[in-house]
Amino acid sequence: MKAEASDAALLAGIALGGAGLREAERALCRRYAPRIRLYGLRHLRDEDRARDLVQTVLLAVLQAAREKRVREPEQLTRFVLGTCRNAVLRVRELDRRAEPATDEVLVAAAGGEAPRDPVNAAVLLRCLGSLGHRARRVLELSFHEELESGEVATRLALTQGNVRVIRHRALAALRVCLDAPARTGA
Amino acid sequence: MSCASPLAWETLVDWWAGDLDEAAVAAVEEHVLGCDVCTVVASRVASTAEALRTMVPPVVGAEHLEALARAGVRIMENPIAPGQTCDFHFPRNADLAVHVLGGLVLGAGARVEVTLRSLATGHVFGHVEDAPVDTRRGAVYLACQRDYAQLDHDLVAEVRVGKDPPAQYTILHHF
Repeated sequence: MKAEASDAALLAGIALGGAGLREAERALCRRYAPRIRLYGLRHLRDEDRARDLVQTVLLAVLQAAREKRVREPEQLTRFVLGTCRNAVLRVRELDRRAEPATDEVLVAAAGGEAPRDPVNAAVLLRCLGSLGHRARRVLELSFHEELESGEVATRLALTQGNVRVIRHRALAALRVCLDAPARTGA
Repeated sequence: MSCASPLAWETLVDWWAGDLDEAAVAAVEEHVLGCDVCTVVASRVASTAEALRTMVPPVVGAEHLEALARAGVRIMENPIAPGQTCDFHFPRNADLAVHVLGGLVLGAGARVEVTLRSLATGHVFGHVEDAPVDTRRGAVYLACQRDYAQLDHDLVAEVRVGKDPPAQYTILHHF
């Protein structure tokens, strides 16, 4: 099996230009698009904004690569992280969606590569119903009402540590249930 | 794809829930941005948490419904009285149906429990303690989504106010 090119090799290919330029850019976008989308979803809590962030960040990274401005090619991840942070700050400050890019490579990376995992409402209801009451409440308060673990602990008369343990176990159980083959009936 | 030091599920859940300090967040994010393996696992955390964040709970408050309507969700109400059996056809031009379980006497601070059962099997597929209520209309709102076609279509909703006997509403869904 052909080994994947390192980040440094892709950056070198982009900096060189020529015939390998587009392929190196595509490979870099394929690699980083899902990761940036995840970062965007975590910080912006919005799928469309996360997709816009993918385009904004990839465009900045590709431009830096073309202009040989990535000083430490082996540390491209740090460069991408810094670019993500700045882009999220700008999105928040402006409170508007980032301008969508028109570059076909970026559009494909942001849209085509992003894993979309819509959850069926009936399956979610059934899976939540399979959890214990306390586990379900911890998940609802943590992720639906978006309370911090300290607030969840106060509401449910638990310790903060307890909330975190219940939360990660319950989320894992919910994920397993959501991934299970569909059953019939309620 | 491999990762020499994969991040623990617990760490990723804490990260997604905002329960890590700044240094830990930076470490997690740098790792995830550089790692396909951990991106896949973190995406599982993310999709599960996002499903919870964006879900419409089966028993829903008036404010939540107003927010959904403002966001463009097309909502259709279906008022039902206690003891009534209702044939309900999910409308084609609605995104969300709301069964308005009315006729309730809701005193200030009344604790309301809602239980949802399959009419055919009696299986409980939803139970909400301390359910949100609309005291002005004397009603509880039961959100019904098109995806629920996968569940038993015929259900009984029992609404218990305080220690009173529960009011029953039977809904026969047609999707």
